[in-house]
Amino acid sequence: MLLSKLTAEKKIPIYAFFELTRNCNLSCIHCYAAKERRKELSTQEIKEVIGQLKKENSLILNFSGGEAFVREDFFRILWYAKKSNFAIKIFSNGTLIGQKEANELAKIKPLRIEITIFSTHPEIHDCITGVNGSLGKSLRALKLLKDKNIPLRIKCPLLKSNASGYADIIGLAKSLEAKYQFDPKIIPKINGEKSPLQFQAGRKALFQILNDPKILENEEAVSGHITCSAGYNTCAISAYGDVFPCIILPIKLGNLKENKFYDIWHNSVRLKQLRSVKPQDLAKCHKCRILSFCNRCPGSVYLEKGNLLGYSKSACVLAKAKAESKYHLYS
Amino acid sequence: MMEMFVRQNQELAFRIIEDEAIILTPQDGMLHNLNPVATRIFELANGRRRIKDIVTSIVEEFAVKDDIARRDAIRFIEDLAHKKLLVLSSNPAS
Repeated sequence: MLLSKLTAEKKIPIYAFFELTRNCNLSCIHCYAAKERRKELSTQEIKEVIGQLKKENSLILNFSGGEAFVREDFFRILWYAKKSNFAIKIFSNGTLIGQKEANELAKIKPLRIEITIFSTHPEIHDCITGVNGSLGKSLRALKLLKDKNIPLRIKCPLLKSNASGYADIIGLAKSLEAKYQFDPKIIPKINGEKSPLQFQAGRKALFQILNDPKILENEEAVSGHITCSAGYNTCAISAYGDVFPCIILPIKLGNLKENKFYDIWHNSVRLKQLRSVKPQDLAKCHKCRILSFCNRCPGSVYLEKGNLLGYSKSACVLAKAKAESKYHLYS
Repeated sequence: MMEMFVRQNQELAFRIIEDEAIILTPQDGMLHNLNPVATRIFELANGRRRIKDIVTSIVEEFAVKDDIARRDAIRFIEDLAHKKLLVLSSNPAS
């Protein structure tokens, strides 16, 4: 049986997404994160949470932010996770990774580091991040990490301002022997504020990308899921200790400063409600004729509509573009 | 070979779920799923036990004939070492 199916059936949180901080040294125009006044988890609290996740048989620990490297204790956390026999993934903008950090990461041997690059042109990339010189630093990180043979993926959210440069991103990934991933899904901020949606690439731009033979080279089976693994074998923990089914599905299940992960994961009423949702409950999506092209994200729906059962406008845009092109976007 | 010490590769990410080990090797991203006997061998491989000690434990715990257990255990250990899940050494782990 596939690991994902086995763990989803047994409700084992095999994939844990751990947001270590909301602080970031960049100011991306479309970012979904929203800072709060609460105190973030301490090093010791994070270690305790990692221990609790291990007890629940969590295996793949995905660290992110904000920007995780702004935490001065990040490497202590990474080593603790490593010694707890986790497979480690890191989402980063890469700008704080120099030679010293690359050397240390090579010892830790993460499963993969994913670095966001919006464009190979600094005037576009730096305009999106809001920080001059950020592209150069991110590219330097990619080079240093490649030299250490660390598996890499370049991630590129598709916005109006960068979508036309997708071929350059593919070229960059190939030159680094890295995987790449284009993400057309731009979501509202997790506090519900919808301003990021204005930056999402339109259907016309997506259609052009999906029809490019370069995308076809990396074609995978088209996903037909309209529910997802969030809350089944995937969990997320915020920088404040809140537990969510997914970092972009802000249904708070509990807080780790008040309760143990076990109690939240097994006893949350909200989580039981989420797990009870069946495909046929999604009336509009269930009967959609282009369902097989849809990657409907419950988090996007929740943030766009305020409920779990509706349709996602952004997913519809992408599904229509996919249906027209029959290609999709992941390597 | 029976005198060699055997330990888990320290680079592995793994969990044991219902008597079966799920092991992820970071260098290639491969997932390995061990059956209960191989999982027990993996658990016993603490770097201070020799292969012969592990075979003795498997014979006792799984109530199998000594010669069958010996052959299977050695085959498992060789296979796990080949996949870099176990490391063999002539010295015990410190």
